Amino acid sequence: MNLNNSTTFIITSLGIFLSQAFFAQHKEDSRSYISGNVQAIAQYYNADSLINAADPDHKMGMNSFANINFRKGNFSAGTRFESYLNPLEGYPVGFKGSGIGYRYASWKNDDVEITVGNFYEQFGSGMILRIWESRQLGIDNALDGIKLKYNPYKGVYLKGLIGKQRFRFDDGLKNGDGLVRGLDGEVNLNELLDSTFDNSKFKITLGGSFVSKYNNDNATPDFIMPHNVGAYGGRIIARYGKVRFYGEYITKENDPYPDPSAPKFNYLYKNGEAVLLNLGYSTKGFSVDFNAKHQDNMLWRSTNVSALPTDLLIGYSPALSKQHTYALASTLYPYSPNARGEIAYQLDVLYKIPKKSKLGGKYGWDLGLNIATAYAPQRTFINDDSTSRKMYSTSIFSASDSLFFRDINFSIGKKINKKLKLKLQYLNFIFDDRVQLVAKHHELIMADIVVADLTWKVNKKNSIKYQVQHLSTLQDQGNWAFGQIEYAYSPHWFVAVLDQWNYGNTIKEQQIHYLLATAGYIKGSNRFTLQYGRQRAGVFCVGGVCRQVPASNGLTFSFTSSF
Amino acid sequence: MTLLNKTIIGFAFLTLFVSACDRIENPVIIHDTSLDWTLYPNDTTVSPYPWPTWTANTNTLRNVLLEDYTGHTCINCPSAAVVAKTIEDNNPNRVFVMSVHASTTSGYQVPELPHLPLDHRTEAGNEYAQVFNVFFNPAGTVNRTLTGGNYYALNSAWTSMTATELSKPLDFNIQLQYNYYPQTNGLFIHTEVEALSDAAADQYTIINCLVRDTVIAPQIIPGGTVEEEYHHHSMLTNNINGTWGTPIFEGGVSSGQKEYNNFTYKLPDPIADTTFRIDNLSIITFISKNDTYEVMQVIKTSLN
Repeated sequence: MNLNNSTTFIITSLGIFLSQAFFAQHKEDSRSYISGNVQAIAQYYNADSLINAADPDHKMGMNSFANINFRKGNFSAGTRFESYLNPLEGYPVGFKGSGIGYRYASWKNDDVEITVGNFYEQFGSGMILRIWESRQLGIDNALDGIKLKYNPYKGVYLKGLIGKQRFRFDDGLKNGDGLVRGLDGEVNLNELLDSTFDNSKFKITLGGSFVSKYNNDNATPDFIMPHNVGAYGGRIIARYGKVRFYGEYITKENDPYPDPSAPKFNYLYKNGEAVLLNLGYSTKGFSVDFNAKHQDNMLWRSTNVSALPTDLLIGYSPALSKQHTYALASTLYPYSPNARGEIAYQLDVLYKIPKKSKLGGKYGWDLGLNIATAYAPQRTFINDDSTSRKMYSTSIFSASDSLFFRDINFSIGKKINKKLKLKLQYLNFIFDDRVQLVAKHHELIMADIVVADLTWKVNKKNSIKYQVQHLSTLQDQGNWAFGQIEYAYSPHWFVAVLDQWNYGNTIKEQQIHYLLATAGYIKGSNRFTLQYGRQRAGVFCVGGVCRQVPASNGLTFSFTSSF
Repeated sequence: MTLLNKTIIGFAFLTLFVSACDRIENPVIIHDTSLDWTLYPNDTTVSPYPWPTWTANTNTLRNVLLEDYTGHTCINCPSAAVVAKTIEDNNPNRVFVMSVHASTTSGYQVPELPHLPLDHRTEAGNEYAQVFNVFFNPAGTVNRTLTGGNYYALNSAWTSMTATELSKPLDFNIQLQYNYYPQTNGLFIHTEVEALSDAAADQYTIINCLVRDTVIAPQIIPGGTVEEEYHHHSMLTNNINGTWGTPIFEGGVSSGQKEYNNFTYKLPDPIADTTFRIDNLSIITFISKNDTYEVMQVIKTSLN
C-alpha cells in the first residue's frame, strides 16, 4: 500500500470513528473549567573567562511558557504560548522567538477519545514510541495530527495515531517532514474475563504495538533508503500479590542513519532489537526491583538525516540507573543510554528498619542500595559493507567486556529526633567517557562520592538544611567539594548559599570556587526565585536523556505559577 | 457500533500498519561510471536498477578452462574438438571448453571464399595465440598451465592435464549474476570473487568472455571437404572486459576477502545474426594470475 492509499485509508477510518462517536454523544457536566500554568526563567550573563562562562552578545536569555487549558463536559482544548528571547545558553538550538508551540482539542465519550492538533503519547515502556516533552531539557517531540483512543470491549484498549513531530520552534511550531503512524493495543485479561479472574491475585495484561514512519528526507546517492520503516513488539504486565513483572520486546526494521564517525554504524541496515525486563517485589518497609535491558541499534527518529541528539525521536531508551539528585552525583558523570546499544542491569533495594524496634530505635532507619551497570553488546562483525550492510550480529543479553558505566550507591536515612533528620549516601562510579563524552578528557573515570544531608527543623516556622558532598577521582578535573546551607522561613521565604570547589584540579588556576546564592519567595501557587553567582559546566539529565549546561556567571530569575 | 464493525476497523488498521515497511536487502548503490547506463531501459529514479543480492558461495572445487585453439580450414581440428567436448561432458560443471579461432599466423583462420567466408577470429583470441605461442592448430591450453615449457599441448595430453588441474586446491571462488534488457540488448554483469587463501604478493585479474554455445558454420573436415553446417561449440566471440581483464585485489589478498565487479556490454543484434540470440550465449568468467597467466578458477554462466 503506498502512502497516498494509506493516508486515504486512515482518514476514512477516522471518519468512521468520528461519526460513530459524535452520534453517540450525550449530555454530562456542562460547567466550564479553565486551568493553566506559567514558567519564566531569565538569566543575565557576566563575563568570566576563568570558568569559560557563557557570555552572549545579547547578555540576557529568557525561556518562558504558559499553558492554558479549557474543559467543558467531554470537550477540552488548550494551547501553550512559548517564548525564547533569547534562549538560555546551553538550551538546544531550534528554540527561538515567541508564539504558539502547542494547541489541541479533544473530545471523549465512554468508548472513544479523539485528540486533534498536538498531543503526547507513550506505548509500553516508550521504547517503540514515546512522544514527550521536558522544558528543562529542551526536548519536545509532540505529534501534530490526530489520536484516537478506543475501548471497544471491556478490558480492551486501543490507541491509534498519526502525525508529524515538532522539530523546531521559530516564532511558532515547525514540524519535521516525517510522518509517524502508530497503533497500540492492550488487553487486560482480568477485566476481559472478569467472571474467571475478577477476584484472582494474578493480574495480567498483554499488549502489542506497531509504529511506522514515512520520510524521504535522506536522498543520499550512495544507498537505497527505506522510506517506510516499521517497528513492532509486544509486552506483558503481570502481578501476583506483591510480585510484579514487566517484559517487553521490540524490533525495528532496517532504519539506516548517517554515522560517519563509525563506519560499522554508518547507514546500518541491521534490524534493531530491544528487550526490557523488570521483576519487583514490594511489601511494607521493603522493596526490591531488578531490571535488565538489551538494546541494539534502536535509534528511532522520524527523519533519517543527521539530527541533534534529542531531535525528532520516536523511541526512548529507558535508563537503568538511579536518577541522582545531589549535585556532584547528578551533573558530573551522569549515565545516558548508549544510542548504538547496550546491555544494562539494575538492582534497587529499599529497606526500612522498623521504628520502635531494637535496631530501628524510635524512628527507624531508611536503607537503600542501588547497583546499575551497562556494557556494550557483544558484536560479531561481518564483512558486508558493500552488500547488505547488516554489519554485525548480536545475541540477546550477550554483553562484551566493554563497560560503559557502573554505579554502586548506598544510602542511609535517619530521623534522629523530632528536629533533626540525616541522610548519608556513598556512590562509586565507573564511567566510560569515550561513550558519553561528558568530560572529554579521559577514557575511564572512576569516582567516589560521599554526601551528608542534615535537616534541622528549628521550630514550626524556621528550618535549616546543611549539605556537604565530596567527589574524589584521579581522572578528569580531580576532586570536588560541595557545601550548601539553606534557611527556610515557612511558608514564604527561603535563602541558600552553596559552593562547589574544584580543589583537586591539577591546574592550579582551575581550582575554582563556584559560589552561588539563592533567595526565593513562595505564595500560594506562585514561586519567585533569584540566584546570583557562578554555575559550573555540567550535564543535566532526566530519565537518561541529557543536555550539556555551560558554565555561567550572573543573575537568574525564575517565576512559576499555576491557576 | 457493533462488535463486528469494531473488529473490522481494528483489523483494517492492523493491515494498514503492517504493510507500511520497506525492506531493503541490498542497499548499496554502486557508482560505477564505467557502466553504460544507456543500456538500462528504465528511469532509475522511478525504477532503481535491481542490484543483485549475494548468498554464500559453497563451492569447494577447482574448475578447468580448456581453450581449444582451432581454425575453420584446419582438417584435424574437428577431431580435437570432439576430444575437448568429451572431456567437458565427462566433467559437467567442472570443465569448460572455449573454442578460440586463432594461431600466431592465422593460417587456418582467414576466410576463404567462396566456401569459408566467415571470420571467427577475435582480437583477444589473436593476442592469446601470440602470448601462448600457439603456432599450430589444433592446440589447447589447460588452465593456461605450462607443460614441457609450453602453454599449448596436443589434444592427446588434455585429459591427463585436466585431471591434474581438477585435483588442485581451490584458491578463489566466483559467482556471477546478470540482468539482460532486450529493449537495448544491454547486458549487466555482476561478479563476486572470494579469496580462499592468502596470496598477498600476487596480482590477479578477472576476465569475462562472451561465447556462443553453438555456431553453425562451414568447416573443413577430415578428407578435405567443407561441411556447411558444422556445429562449432562454445566459440569465443568477444571479451567483455578486455583481453586481460580487470585487476582484482590490487592491494593484496587474504582469505575470506571478497571483491565485487560490475560490467555492461551491448550484445550484437540477434535479429541481424541469430547466433546472438540470448539463449545461445554464455559467459565464461575466470581468474587469471598476472605473472604466469594461470587460470585459478573458472565458471560458465548460460544467459538463457
